[in-house]
Amino acid sequence: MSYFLAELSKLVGQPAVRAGSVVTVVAPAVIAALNGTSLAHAIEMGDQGAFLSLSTVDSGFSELAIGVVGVLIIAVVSVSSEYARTPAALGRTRQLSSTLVAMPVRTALAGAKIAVLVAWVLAISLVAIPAALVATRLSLGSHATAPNLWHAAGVAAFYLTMALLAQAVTTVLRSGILPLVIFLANSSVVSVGMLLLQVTSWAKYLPDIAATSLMFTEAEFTTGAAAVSRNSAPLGAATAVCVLLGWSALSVAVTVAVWARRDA
Amino acid sequence: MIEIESVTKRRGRRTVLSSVSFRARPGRVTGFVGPNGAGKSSTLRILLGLDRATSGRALVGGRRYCDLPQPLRTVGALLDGGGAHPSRTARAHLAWIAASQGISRRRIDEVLDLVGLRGDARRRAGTYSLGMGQRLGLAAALLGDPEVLVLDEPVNGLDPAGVLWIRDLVRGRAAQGGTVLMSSHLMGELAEVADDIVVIADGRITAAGSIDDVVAPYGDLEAAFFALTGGAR
Amino acid sequence: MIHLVRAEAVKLVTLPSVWLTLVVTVGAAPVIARAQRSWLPGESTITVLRLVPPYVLVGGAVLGVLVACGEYVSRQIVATLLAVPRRARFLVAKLVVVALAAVASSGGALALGRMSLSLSTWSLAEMRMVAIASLVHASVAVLSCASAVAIRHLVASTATVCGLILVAPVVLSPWPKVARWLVDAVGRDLYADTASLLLPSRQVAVALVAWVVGAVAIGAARLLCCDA
Repeated sequence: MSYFLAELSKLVGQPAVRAGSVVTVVAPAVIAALNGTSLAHAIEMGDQGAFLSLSTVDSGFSELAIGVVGVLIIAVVSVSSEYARTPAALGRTRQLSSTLVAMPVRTALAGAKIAVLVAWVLAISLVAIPAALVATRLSLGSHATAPNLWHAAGVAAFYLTMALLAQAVTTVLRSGILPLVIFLANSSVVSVGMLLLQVTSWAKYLPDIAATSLMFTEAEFTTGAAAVSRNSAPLGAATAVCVLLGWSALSVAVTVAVWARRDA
Repeated sequence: MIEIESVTKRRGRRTVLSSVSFRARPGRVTGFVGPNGAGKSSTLRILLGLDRATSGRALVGGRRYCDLPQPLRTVGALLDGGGAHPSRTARAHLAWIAASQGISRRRIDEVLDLVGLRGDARRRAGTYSLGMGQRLGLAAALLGDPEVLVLDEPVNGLDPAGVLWIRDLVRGRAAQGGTVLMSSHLMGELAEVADDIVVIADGRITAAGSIDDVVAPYGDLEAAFFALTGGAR
Repeated sequence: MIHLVRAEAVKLVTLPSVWLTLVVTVGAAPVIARAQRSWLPGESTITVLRLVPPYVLVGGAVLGVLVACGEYVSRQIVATLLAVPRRARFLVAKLVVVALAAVASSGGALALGRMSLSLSTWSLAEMRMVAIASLVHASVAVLSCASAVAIRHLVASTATVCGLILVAPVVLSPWPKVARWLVDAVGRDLYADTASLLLPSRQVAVALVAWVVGAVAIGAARLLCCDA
């Protein structure tokens, strides 16, 4: 428990973590409100415009998918901050030295880092998801569709899986830049997952692609991701859950193994 | 000659330096002492153009540091251990510095030999111990064979042989007519090498002059230091 | 000034992370080109090739961030400003080197991508596209470098630059009138086929220059006016 509290204290004290949390909580809600207003107007005018479709079934959830950016920053910084060096005048030390001296049981330390990250991401998800869905409902007004609570859980699962994966990659590389670039790129039009989906259906088992099955209806998946995919059938919900659990378990195992074995 | 003239530095509401004035003369080693947070590094950073003074000026040979053409040929400085990127080798670190001043690559080998890092030159700076990093910083400071040396705690992390080497270096420079300004917390070491002493506390100069004049009322340099900085936080 | 550019070039080529970025950027292009070809088998070479630059763009952005933030790792900026106290000249030299590296890596990447699609003689349109895309990437690399000089923190710089280039287009996609002024859209319009440009090329070029100038102005202000 003391390890958990120490890691929680460290995490909360990071300005980048606070910034990432604000991004995750605020950005999807704001964008959902703006999108909702525009979509409501488009529906009333009967003009699709820039929207892929005038369906409101998945409104709010596509904006929540963008919120993963903040989660990625939190996960990366939770590890990369251990390796940042102070200037030579301050001894050229890393926070890692203090961490390992204070908490020498490495598996417990790794467990605490993972547990704190999971708890924090869950906590901000509990705020971000309702905020975005409420903003969507208010902005769409009478055009709003009742949100699918399973999809809301899917968003939380997506956030958790990506956070654990980013944490594992940063732990292996000891640097935050590469995982941040890769995972942010994956959230955009230059997604490696989407690119691979054009080549092989096995790409459906990548975590960000699998998570779309849990966050969106099939229609959204079809018009969105599968518009560039040769395989338009997404994974079933149960399969997607297993895939995300698998990626999460792999990430946790890698994080613990690296912390337990590697020299500081 | 190094001239610090009425330098004041404020950061927000905090006054870091208050009308600091002193000189470091050629042919002499000037020791710059003060408690932690007194303003030593701030003064040196203003002298070397890294920070801006709120008022006053700091000159090297009558010119601001940023007005010196190829400044490392005039002033060799050691601050913060030298600032090599941890992924870069020592040789690569010195190579870009040499390139920026038009200094020949031959000089890199000379300074590496001088500081005793020739055998470790192809190792990444991130793998260096504190003392090796300090030596690399000294190598960079000596690359341009400058007549002025500004050294912020140069013996930090050095073994006894290294400390002796620094002592010989600064005394040799001064003997050749060069100017040496060095800060240190090691009173005993400073007493061996310094000709002049400047004492700073709470951002103000409390004493400046030849080491004999400053120390005379107190017996030794350490006693003088505590007496002259005793009012500091 | 030549000395300064040489020094910045030595710094760039002796940083392993920069080499990794350049190798990945150049090496990934043919893979991406082949992947796009497998999805669009009937399209012309230039149509498929036009889908590659957005991926290469990420490499340019990362290059700019790494080169700038490398100064603030272990406080290398102290050594740099001691060697080059004229900060404006240092910044110009750094941006020139970043631009040249980005042009070379982008040109190499797109050339390899083109060769992976077809070994036939290049058309004028393809050469134009690769040349302009390389200049666009150099602009993005300069913008990223200048932004990172202003921000001075590796994770924050990476998040900001990637946010601007990767995330903002997704967020603003429902508002195409706004999204078309983003860096990636403006760049894409420049190297795209002239027949399908949304905006006249002069306007687009000015928009890209404005982005770069804005970022450089902010980076320069931070570097010149603030303590090291």
